[in-house]
Amino acid sequence: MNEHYLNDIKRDIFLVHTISKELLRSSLSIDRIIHVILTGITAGHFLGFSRAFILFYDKGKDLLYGKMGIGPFDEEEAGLIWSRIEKENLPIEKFFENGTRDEFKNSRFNLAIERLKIKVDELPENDYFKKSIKEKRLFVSYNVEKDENIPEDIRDLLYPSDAVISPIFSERGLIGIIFADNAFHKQPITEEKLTLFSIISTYAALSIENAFKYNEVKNMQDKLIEKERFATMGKIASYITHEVKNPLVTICGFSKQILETDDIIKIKRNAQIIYEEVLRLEKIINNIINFSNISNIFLEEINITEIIENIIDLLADEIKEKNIEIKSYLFPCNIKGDPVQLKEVFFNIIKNGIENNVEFGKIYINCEVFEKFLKIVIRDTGVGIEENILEKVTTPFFTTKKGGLGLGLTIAKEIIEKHNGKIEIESKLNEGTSVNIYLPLEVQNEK
Amino acid sequence: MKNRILIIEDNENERILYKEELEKDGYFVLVASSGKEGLSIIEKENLDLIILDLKMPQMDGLEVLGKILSKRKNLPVIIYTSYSEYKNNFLSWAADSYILKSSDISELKNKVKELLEIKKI
Repeated sequence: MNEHYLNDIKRDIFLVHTISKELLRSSLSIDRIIHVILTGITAGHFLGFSRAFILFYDKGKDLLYGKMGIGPFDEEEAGLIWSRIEKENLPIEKFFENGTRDEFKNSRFNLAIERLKIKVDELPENDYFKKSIKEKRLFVSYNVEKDENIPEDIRDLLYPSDAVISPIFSERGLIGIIFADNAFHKQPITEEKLTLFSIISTYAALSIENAFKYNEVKNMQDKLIEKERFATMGKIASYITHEVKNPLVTICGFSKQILETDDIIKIKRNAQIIYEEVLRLEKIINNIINFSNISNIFLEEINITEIIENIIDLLADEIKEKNIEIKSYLFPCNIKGDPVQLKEVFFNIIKNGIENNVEFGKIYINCEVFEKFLKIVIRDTGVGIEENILEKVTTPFFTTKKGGLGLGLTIAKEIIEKHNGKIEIESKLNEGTSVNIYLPLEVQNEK
Repeated sequence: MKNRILIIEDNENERILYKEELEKDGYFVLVASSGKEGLSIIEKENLDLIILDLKMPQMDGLEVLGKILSKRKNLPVIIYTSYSEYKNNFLSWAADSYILKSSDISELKNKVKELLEIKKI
């Protein structure tokens, strides 16, 4: 085997290796994956392609639409780019670092590609784009700029060159089409290059599919978290309704009496009652508000004791039903925190303490200053958690409760961490569980 | 002879309001602040009608209702609450009326009047 050929193979393997490494690093963003693939295809002299683009397929509309394109728009741009690359003699890794995606987004070639919209059923039968979809294979077009088997809208963007058209299929069907030409390099498209191109297309399919799946799972997870929050909100809303209704009944009744009487003593007494009820109403509203979203925390001076006591009131029914005794040893302590979100944390934890507790069980709540934190310990005398599953309790969807979604502690952890605090869970089977929450006494950096 | 009504309601201000409003209509009104207190009044007093709140600490209104029914079968009971969800609880069907608390107290007053008139016949 001649040395030159061996070097080519080495170079090719290196290219594939670099692309797959980049793909692994490229997280699960579809744009980032496509950027890596297209950069890999066009980078320097490795594969010898000058420009590449990806069209995505919209099955519902039977439409191919431009997703991203990388490469010089015309000879002038090409000259500028190649001379720079040759001067700097960059290794391939640098191409992935070089030039952010935003830069490419505004390049003339990419903008032209993003405007592309091609109706597949309107393409002639011999069209390579249509055929590559139908026959699930790669096509090479020589003198692509004049090739009638290439859609006209695309030909308009092309220079005299040869090109490869390859479909990207995943298990769920057609994702799109990759196109690459050798417009400015004019390096011939060899058999080896085509093989390499196929391998990269397969990588593209796998990675894009992966990202799709990840995004689907992520969306589903977000929806479920939302659902759990709505359930909690429903409970809060019902509480508000009743708590607000009762003062309204008395305020209305007593004010009506005032209107109907001249008895000054009675008027004064009624006014006093109305005054008290209005204060009660205000307190109720201050107590609960609504559960807002975790992504933003609004820090304010809060009294943790007050927050916990509110939650105990809110859970009074559940506490009564199971004959739980709450033993709280709290001292008034003001810290900076988001009252609404911390309420959700304590709601979830105390509710767990009730639900996992035994009939006539106890819940101890106390706090102490620990280093630079306020440490709040909520301990129940419940069934406890087995050691081997203790780690999992804060992972989303892990639950031991019938009908539970397993998000209570996940949300709690997230909120506490947003406060620069931490949460610890200790448990002994059949003895109970202790949740320790650490909240910073002083806020250093507001997130 | 005035009709005698017992109000079982844990909220003091509401208790005062309902008592005064019903007294205006010419009834003799007794009050109890808990289910337990209410039941002991029912044991001792002669009554014509009971107004019962549902959400009370210690003994739940529905539990009180069950006890009332087992003691005094033909005593009319009005459930007066801000909770609509109990309406579907079969125990609440045993009451003669289920009224949701509202700022307009006349619905309660009218129901009291109506039930006492039926009782007379």
